[in-house]
Amino acid sequence: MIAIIDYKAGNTESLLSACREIGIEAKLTNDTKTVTLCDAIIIPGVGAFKTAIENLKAAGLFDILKNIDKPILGICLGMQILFERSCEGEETEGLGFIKGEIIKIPVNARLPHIGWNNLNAGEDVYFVHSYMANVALKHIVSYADYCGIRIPAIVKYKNVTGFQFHPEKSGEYGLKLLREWYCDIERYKCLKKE
Amino acid sequence: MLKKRIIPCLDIKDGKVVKGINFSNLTDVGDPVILAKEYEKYGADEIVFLDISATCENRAIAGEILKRAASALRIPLTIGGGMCSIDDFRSILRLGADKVSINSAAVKNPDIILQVVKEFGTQCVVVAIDTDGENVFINGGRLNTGIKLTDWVKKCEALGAGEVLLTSINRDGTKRGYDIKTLKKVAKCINMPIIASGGCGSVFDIVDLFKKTECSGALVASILHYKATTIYEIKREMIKNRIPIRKGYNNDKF
Repeated sequence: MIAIIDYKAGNTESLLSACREIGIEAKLTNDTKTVTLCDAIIIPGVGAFKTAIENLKAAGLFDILKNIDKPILGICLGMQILFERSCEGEETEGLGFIKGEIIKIPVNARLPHIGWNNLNAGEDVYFVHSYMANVALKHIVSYADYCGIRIPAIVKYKNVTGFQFHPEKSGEYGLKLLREWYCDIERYKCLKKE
Repeated sequence: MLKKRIIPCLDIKDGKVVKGINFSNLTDVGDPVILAKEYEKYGADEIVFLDISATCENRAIAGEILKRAASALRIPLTIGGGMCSIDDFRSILRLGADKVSINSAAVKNPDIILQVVKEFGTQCVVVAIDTDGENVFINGGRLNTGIKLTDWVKKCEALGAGEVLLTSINRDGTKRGYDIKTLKKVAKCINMPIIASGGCGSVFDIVDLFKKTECSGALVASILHYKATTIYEIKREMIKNRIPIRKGYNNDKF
């Protein structure tokens, strides 16, 4: 079972139904025990970094997530909080799974970066954000180009994956990417057993 | 590269779609969810449900419709019409909308934008503005507030809104094309994305819009509902004119 972390950060209904559609058993939860016992975790989220961290702390989930050794997928803001810190508003500490920080998209174009943009080796996916990860190239699986700026779109480090876009809002292709992540965690589970 | 969006808008009254949308293969042409899904299949990049019967006292987009839409759609969904308070935003977003558009209530109480942004983030606030090109109108375009359009959009941006949906009340329903002049003027004074609405009479108006302005998306209603064209045709014409569009996954029709 996959725990989708419920910390009052936006639209989780479509993520749940996207999981259902591709046969992932997922549950929306903020229960610390469920989070500890699940096979993998999805951290969704839209909104502000600081509020997200505060909500996680209030639910007693921040420290649990920080120390967890399971496959984790962060989506949009959920991806951003996987990093060490963000300078959105006042500087706030994140979960620190991946080295790097969240910065305002340094672009001379319209913000937020809203809409469909293609991955460098892939199809169009739906983005909606004004901040992005400033992260070492080795952690970037895929990026999207926005007026000359390479926005990290998929990042990965060990058991932790981040999607800056919304797979649940990115049509069939988004579902495919979600499905691929899920297949990966199945592999991870087998490896762990060995 | 960021793509230009085609956004069908469905007007909903008492839970049913009004305006003559007519897909021959559908039996229930009044169900907003079924129609939205159909538009998604045809290549829509986003969907807007505009609740035209909504007032502050009466929310006609039932939670049930919204929940079904959020489950069924794999593209973003915006809900508008009769938003009055932060509680309206809260309930609509919880039920599964990705964005909420706010019009009159924001003009009457701009702080509501600030509050929603603080709680849910910039990305979910679409400020809908009805204008004659100079001033901001409210109450369905009937009341001139005397507020200057350029002042209002700048204020919305400062308060943290994520997008502007600009409707030209002079063009709405006329099929004379989008109000390019006003859209250009607004694009100059703000940095957030702009969705154009009102006046679209053909695919060429959409091409014209994207060639002449910086708009990020085009709201389309009548020309789709009355089957003057399809999203396929719109996108084909856009490709011909080298306007970047989203190509559907596993979709070789383009």
